[in-house]
Amino acid sequence: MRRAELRFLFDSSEDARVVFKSLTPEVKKRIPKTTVELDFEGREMVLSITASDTSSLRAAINSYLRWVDTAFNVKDAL
Amino acid sequence: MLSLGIEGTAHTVGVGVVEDDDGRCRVLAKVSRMYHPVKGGIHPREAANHHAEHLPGLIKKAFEEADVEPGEVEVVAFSQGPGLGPCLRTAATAARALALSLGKPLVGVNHCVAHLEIGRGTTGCGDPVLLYVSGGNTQVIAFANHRYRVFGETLDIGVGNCLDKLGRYMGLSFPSGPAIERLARKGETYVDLPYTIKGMDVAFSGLLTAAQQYYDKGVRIEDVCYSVQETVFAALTEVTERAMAHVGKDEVLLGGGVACNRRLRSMVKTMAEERGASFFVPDDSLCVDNGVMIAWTGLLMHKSGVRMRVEESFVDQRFRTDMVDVRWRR
Repeated sequence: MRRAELRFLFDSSEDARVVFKSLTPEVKKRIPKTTVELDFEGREMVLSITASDTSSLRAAINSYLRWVDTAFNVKDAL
Repeated sequence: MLSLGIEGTAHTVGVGVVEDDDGRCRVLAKVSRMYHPVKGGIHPREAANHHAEHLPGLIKKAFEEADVEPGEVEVVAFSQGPGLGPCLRTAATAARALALSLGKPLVGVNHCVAHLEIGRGTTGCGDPVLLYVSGGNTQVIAFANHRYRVFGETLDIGVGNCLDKLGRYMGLSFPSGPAIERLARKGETYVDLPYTIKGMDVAFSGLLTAAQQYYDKGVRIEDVCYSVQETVFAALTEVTERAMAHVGKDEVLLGGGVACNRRLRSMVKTMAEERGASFFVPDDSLCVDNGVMIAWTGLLMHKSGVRMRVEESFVDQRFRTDMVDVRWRR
């Protein structure tokens, strides 16, 4: 098994909340061969990904980073 | 009431802002970007990255074009499916972030139903049979018993996919429909192609192979394009007419990217006129994938009481047209 933990520190807890809630359905709906957990407290959000092999882990990291980026940039654009 | 919609099922990412103008759709903003693959067809991951890159800017641009403050929007809608998973999930994530940031309700829209509703909302038709023709979807849809029912559809590939695959095979760029249409106008000789209708359904993969073989044998590209258009559009017109007769409706509406094709329009229009029916087609920019149709359908859904929790706003790659509970047309 391969595991990655990504920690995001936002400027505000509101930013963290919006990104966390935006990603919630994507965490509940699984990507093949991976298990994803998402948590947030205050300004920090933690994304933990466990995958059966390195390529699946890399694919999942890329996907979730894309969605974190999307959610944050949309909020930031307002 | 103002609604913002985000479309992102395949190659196009679009944002639309609409207003309910006494039951008609008033378009306030319509912005989009299209992913063009370097070679081959759509790569879902690359298309999703494209959408992620452009969505924040498109949302900002849509508010500017509509000349409204973000807080004035009353509902945020997104394309929930059907479509390519990574693209759907990216557009949905953007819509969730927008709805949460603004504190506004979120609603997921069926992409196929949106193609029908934007036709009803902008052309003046009331209860049409929709011939929905695009790259991924080819369906004949009509309203019956509180749902949009599929009366006929492709058994294999969408008509737009058939045209794109043929175009790519013959060295045309993606999307190939417009180039095929231009070449077909110069066609002079019709070559026989498989005309596949099974019941109310159509199939195009056999025709695609046959057309590729004609091209390989040296048949003029103009004649291949002409023959393909005449054959596939005739089949689509036939099943549409049969659906109209079956459900007893006297309006026909076109939707989807292939609905921009003037030859298809002329065939369906002639069919409609010959049976005393009315023919409708939205503006080209509303035939192709766009955020406006998502915004408008989301507005109709929200007004009819449809509600969705952000935590449960899952996308559905195989979201069927007839899965939607059409509350706004009871």
